[in-house]
Amino acid sequence: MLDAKDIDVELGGKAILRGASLQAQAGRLTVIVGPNGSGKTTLLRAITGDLPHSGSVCLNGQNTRRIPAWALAEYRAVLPQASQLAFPFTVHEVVRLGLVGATALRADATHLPTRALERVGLAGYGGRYFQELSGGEQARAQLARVLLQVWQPVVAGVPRWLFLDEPVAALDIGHQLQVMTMARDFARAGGGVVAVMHDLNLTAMFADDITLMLDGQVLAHGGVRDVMTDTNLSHAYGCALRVSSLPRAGEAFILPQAAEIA
Amino acid sequence: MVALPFTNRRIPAMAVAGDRALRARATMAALAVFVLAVSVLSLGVGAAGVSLPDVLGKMASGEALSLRERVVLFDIRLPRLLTGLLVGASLAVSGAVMQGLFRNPLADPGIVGVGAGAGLGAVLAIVLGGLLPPAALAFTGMHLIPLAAFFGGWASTLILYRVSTRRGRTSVATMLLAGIALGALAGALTGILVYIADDQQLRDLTFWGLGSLAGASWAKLTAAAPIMVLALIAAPVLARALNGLALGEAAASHMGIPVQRMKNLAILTVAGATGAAVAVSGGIGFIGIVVPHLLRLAMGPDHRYLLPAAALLGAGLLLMADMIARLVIAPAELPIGIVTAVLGGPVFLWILLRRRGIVDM
Repeated sequence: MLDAKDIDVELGGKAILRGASLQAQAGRLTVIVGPNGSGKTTLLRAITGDLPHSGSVCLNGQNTRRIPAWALAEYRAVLPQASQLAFPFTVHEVVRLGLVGATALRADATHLPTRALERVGLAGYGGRYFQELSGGEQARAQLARVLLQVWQPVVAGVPRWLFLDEPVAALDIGHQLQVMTMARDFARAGGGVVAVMHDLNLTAMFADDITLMLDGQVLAHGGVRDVMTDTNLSHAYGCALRVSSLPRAGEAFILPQAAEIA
Repeated sequence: MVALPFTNRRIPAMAVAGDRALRARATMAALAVFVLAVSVLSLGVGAAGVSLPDVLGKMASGEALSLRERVVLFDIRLPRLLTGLLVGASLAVSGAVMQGLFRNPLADPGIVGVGAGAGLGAVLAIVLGGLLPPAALAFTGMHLIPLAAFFGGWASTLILYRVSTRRGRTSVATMLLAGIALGALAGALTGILVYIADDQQLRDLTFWGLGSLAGASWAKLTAAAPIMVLALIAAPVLARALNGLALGEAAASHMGIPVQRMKNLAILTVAGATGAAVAVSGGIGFIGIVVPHLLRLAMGPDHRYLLPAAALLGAGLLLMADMIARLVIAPAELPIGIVTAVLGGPVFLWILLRRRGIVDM
């Protein structure tokens, strides 16, 4: 499991995160939500070691600070919010960069990039130049690379982890569903997924656990119905929100109450 | 047609779209043949009129070589050939490594002041080396000038990286401007040193500053070769890290790359290869930027193939430039820096024209 305790982050003398804690279980899809500037991405980046922070982060029972980068990369992959690429790599070559450690030694390693591209709906894109893809396609190509890095969700009984910072932000609705389904499948197969999301309805549809953040602190954490209440959401987002249920499936969906904003 | 079982297994692996590994391997094989051919040609060409077929014929029939033939071949052309190969490979590889480190195809040790820094180190050693304690002089011996050039290159690369990189992103504009400032500073300090140099030192400086392989000798080669060889050995270790760095430092570190250590190794490699090359042959421009760029066009930017291929193409091109330098105004010869500038300058401009966008990054 992931156990991040008492994370403080200060940027430019300003406290961005104050004592935020997050627990996530392997086999479940954990989503961090919250309004702009609430510290969602900061929490994820602190957990993945991209920001200096106080507090402790344990993954599968080990403090991530004490694990060398190569060992951590074996069971943890991170999708950053913005992607950059120097030099004209093809899509296949970018995805292949995700072949690290033991996965690279598999007999079928040469075919895995192609299969990872299929999983994100980019079959046949391997020969294109990465820079020539649209923003959404680039985002999915990066996702394929990250997915390839932790290809098997569980290895020798140890779960692998995906950390995704707004994985569907640049995607159309069809690809949003495809990517969320892929993330959920990864969790169903025993891996751990922690994602930062903006879309509350997608979150309600796919998340197993939700962490709701506000002003650098965790406002609520738990199952969808525990966290997604009218009170929690309206308080966090500063507008009137009502949680309803889908007629058939009974899943939660959130509707802004335009009249009550004023 | 009967499908053979083994072809069934192998063909799909070759047909993966976007995988340029096979093309890269074929390019490298072709380059190896090219380097070999140019090397043989280079041994047979020169002002002395000693021809390789004659010499080989004599050697095959067991006939003794004349003293003149032996001197020309083994004491002049052979060290010059080896120096050319090593310098060309070092310049091209340090260009490719620096471009990978800065994530930019315009970063070249010659353009951004690293060559000037290495030159300053070499000039310092020539002019002020005599002031060192005798023990230090005895310890460094003939390696003093290459070592000083290495430290000069290292310091300027380090300053350049610190100035132009913020939060893992390198600004090209800052890098180029900082390179101009560093180059000017190194040039000014070099100028001051030239003023205080005595006559013998001035002669050394002039000869060295021409940018030529004409002064190649076994002594100079053995002085600088270890540093260049070390740098060329270190380069392949960097390949995977440079590929990862293309995605940014954070992404590279999540892929399991020890980013800080690899950056330090890359800076040392650039400084070593550039410094030692500058120490033996003075400033030879454009190899470091043109060679990696042409190779990226031909076989893609994967550093696992780009670095060895750059070594080969750099070595071959420098030998060719050296032959041109020796032949166009024979029996005199041009400084090789002029030849690489005449050939490389237009190619560099063409790169800029094709990809004006990269300067605005």
